[in-house]
Amino acid sequence: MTVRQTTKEIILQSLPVIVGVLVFSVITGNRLEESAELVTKEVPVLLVLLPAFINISGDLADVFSSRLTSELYRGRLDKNFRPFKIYLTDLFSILAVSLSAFVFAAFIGNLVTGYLFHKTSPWGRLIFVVLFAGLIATTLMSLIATLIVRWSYLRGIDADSVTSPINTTGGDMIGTTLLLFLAQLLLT
Amino acid sequence: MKTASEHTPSRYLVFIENAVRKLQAFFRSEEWSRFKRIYKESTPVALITVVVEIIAGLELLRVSEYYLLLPGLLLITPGLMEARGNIVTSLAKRLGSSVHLGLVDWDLGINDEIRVNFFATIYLNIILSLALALMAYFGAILLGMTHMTLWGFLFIALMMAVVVGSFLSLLTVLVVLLTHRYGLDPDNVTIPIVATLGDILTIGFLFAVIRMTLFLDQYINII
Repeated sequence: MTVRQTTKEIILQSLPVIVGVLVFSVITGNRLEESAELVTKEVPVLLVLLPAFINISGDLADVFSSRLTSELYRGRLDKNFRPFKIYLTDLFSILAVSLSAFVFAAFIGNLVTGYLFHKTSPWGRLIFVVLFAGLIATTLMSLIATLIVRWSYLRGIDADSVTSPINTTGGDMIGTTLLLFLAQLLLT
Repeated sequence: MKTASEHTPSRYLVFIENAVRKLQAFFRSEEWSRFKRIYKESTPVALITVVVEIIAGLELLRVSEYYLLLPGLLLITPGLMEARGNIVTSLAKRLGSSVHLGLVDWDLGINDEIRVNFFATIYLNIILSLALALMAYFGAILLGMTHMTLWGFLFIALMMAVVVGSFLSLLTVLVVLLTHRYGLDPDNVTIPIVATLGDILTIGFLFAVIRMTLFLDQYINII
């Protein structure tokens, strides 16, 4: 394949997915933004925490899918992700990283909120809410990423080009919804 | 005389002994080394990302001060940031896979594999930014919102695409090559690094583009 053809293929594979998720995120994002505004007025730590929270869950699911794709291309995993030990080790490693990252995010977020808004949330509850929402979001996004990687691999589409937009937008939606729901339940 | 049950160890003891043996075997296994490597490489980057994203999020709140000066900016900013993040993380993933397949390496230098991915990213940035500018302009008309001229939207979107997009793509190539050169697995570290760098650069440059637009408007009517 020539350089021009490969470039064209990357663009043609990526463009529909990116445009699709952008339209989806604009439509659903507006609704989430409205509810986020209501909750952040009562729980200002969310205003500080939200961008970091959604980025971390999306990024970690992306790291997981990137590892899966690399192992598939290298032939260490088959199309059904066997040997399953490799798949599970990667999944648990990502969850262990997200555990540390979400606890740290809750801690730093509350410190910054205390400094900026002179109002902190109860430490134990906040860490629980952020950790629980974060772990569920990362797990769900990793499972969705698994399906997308398998689907694109079987159809000869480069999974690296299509998983990122879906992971990022899915991480935004699932993460924000879970965090707002739990915050409303336990922090307001 | 001792009974048989006193001679044989209790089944609880056997259970614990087996569990300890299995645990020891696990800590010597390949899976544990793999787990440790991913955790050791990804965690520091994830923690730095948390701090940087919190700062970037607070900075982004400052952009809202310009929403009144540049009507319609609110419609285009989230899309530009999201699109940029998606494009650049896809580039990082593709290059990460290429590194594992031996197609990209520091010693191989800038080859066709890097060139193809780099230019595909630039084209994607430009196409998407133009589409976003058009969507924001017609969206504002449909919603009956006060908005900039089409040239204003196009100027902001294209400046972001060309300048931030190119710079970020170059940085991504560099991060992938450097992480691999220093013995790290690019899959574990490049995505959080480039996504965070992307957010910082996009927010930073957005302020610059907003000021440039306001400055240009004194001479040509683009707002």
